[in-house]
Amino acid sequence: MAYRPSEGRNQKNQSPPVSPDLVPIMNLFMALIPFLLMLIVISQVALVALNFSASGGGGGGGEGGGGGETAKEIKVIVMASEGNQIFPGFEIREPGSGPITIKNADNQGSFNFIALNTTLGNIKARNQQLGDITIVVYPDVLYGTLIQTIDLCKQNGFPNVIYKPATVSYGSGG
Amino acid sequence: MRKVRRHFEDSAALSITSLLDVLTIILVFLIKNVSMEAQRLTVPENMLLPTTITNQELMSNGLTVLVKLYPDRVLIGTESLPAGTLKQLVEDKKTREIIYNYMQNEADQIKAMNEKSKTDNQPCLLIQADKQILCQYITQIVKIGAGASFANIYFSTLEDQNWLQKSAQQIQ
Repeated sequence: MAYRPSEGRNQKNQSPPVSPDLVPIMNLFMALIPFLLMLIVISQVALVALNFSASGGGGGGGEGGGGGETAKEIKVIVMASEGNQIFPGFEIREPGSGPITIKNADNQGSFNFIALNTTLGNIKARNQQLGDITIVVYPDVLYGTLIQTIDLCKQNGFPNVIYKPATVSYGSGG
Repeated sequence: MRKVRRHFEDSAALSITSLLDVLTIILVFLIKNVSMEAQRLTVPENMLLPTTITNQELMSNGLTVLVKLYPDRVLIGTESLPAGTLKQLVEDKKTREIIYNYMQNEADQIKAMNEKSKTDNQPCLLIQADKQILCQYITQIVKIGAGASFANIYFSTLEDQNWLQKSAQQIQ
């Protein structure tokens, strides 16, 4: 009686396991990655905050900050054009002393931030406990100038910056 | 004489599995960075942000509503919905109402979410504006934001520790 060959002898016919073809996936990835890299803008983005809840102040058109005892209000007025009692530059008003004016060196809108920085440093040295400062901005001042003025105030130890427009502005938002 | 031929084994296929793993990780990382949340902290296209030394953190429980002010247009929300021009922002009450309603709606949604999920998220207004635009437009947006109960307002800037020195050189 003949027996059929055992199963183990037929292993030669079995094909080796096929690995999945990853090449199309690789192609897809190679297309996606450069595309996503292009979308990313590599730059150090920073934030500058205006807080309207801290001392009740701040804000466009809002009333000045701070309650409590008669706090000293230091004002930095930023102007961009020549006019009646105004000039391109800064005017710093500190109660108890006369206004300090820092006029622009030229007519090209180059504000003297170095002088402002020094002045703010001196004011802070005289008022160590003061943390609030008011920035009054004329409508024709550039946004970049406003932000850099706020930046210098914060750098000189005035973390609470109160933002005020110089003139009565247009109608209410809503 | 009998020739002896050297027997070459079949060359092994290049294994790209590990490379694929690396690419997958990079892809996940990039997709995360390009997400809508990350767009809030990137520089908008065709916009020159002002430079500052200060770099403050967004409050940990803050949920931002974005406003982009270009010299020729105003865009609101992460979806960058058009909301008119800067001139309209100042002169047209309807444009201001549209922006106000959008902000108010966003603030209300954050409040509703707080009540629902017992959280304390604060609505924050993030203003991204070109450094060449006038402050009167910023004032207008700040007023609208404050009116729509945004107590925290942030300005996007580019961090530059040396801008003060550079401005001194310009003056000289």
